Amino acid sequence: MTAFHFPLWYLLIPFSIVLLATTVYMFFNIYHIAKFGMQSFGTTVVLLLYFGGYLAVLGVVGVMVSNIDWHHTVTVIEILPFTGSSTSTFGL
Amino acid sequence: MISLKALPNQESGEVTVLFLRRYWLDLAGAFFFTLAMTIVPFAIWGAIKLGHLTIMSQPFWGPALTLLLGCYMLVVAVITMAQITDYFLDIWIVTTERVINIEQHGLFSRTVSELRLNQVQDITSETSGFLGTFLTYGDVFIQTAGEHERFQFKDIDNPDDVKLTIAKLVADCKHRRGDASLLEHEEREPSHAIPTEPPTSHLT
Repeated sequence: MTAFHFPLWYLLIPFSIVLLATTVYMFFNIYHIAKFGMQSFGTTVVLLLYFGGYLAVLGVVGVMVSNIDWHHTVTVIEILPFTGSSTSTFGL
Repeated sequence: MISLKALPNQESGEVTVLFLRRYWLDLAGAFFFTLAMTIVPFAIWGAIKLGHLTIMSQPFWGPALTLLLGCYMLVVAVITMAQITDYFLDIWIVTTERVINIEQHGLFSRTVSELRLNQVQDITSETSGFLGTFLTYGDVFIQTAGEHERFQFKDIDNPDDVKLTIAKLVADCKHRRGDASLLEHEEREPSHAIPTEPPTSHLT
């Protein structure tokens, strides 16, 4: 019997959906502040904080994700914790 | 964007007197939430390290947990943004003519209402709780004639001072424009209206 294999990049599909949803939500926030906020220095600071904060989080997440070899394939058995091989998929 | 120098339906000579937002403690709460939520994955990471668990070196669970952590960080970031937006867009403006109440409910619901100062019948300030009393923040309620809803300035700084300022503005406005609640009452119940004919003089 052959074990069912699947590439790790399949995991990136739900991650991309979450990434897209949070990015859209972030832009909704920016749109609201830009359209309904008061014309003031504080509003500009908040908008810059939104962009800066979100880009910083994206950067950290990007670094974390880029350290993984997504072409690696795993078997269903390896999904069970502590039963698979301990070969690291982190490209470190 | 809204400009305080060009409010919607602004009359000539109308000046903005008060521009209010909720007390800064509400905003601090949002930042505290973010801080607490940021600590959680680090605490779990620390527990994994202390427990000598090799889950992060598993071929599936290592990448899966990394992605989960990434999703978690993104969601915490947008929740923080939504809380800041909610704080930032709840605004109360008091001018020499009216009170404007702008409230953001979540991200997809927004209420903008206003009332003229000469409609105001009652102003109440309310401070409650240890923090409210110690840091002097609380609510101000503005009541108009019976069927109108009452305005609530939520968690604002120095509600007593705000109440006094509004009361003075209301008195000034009623002096200039007349009491709108009395005029409405007369329109509803004309029998109680003051007779228009001048009283006959009994002096001979």
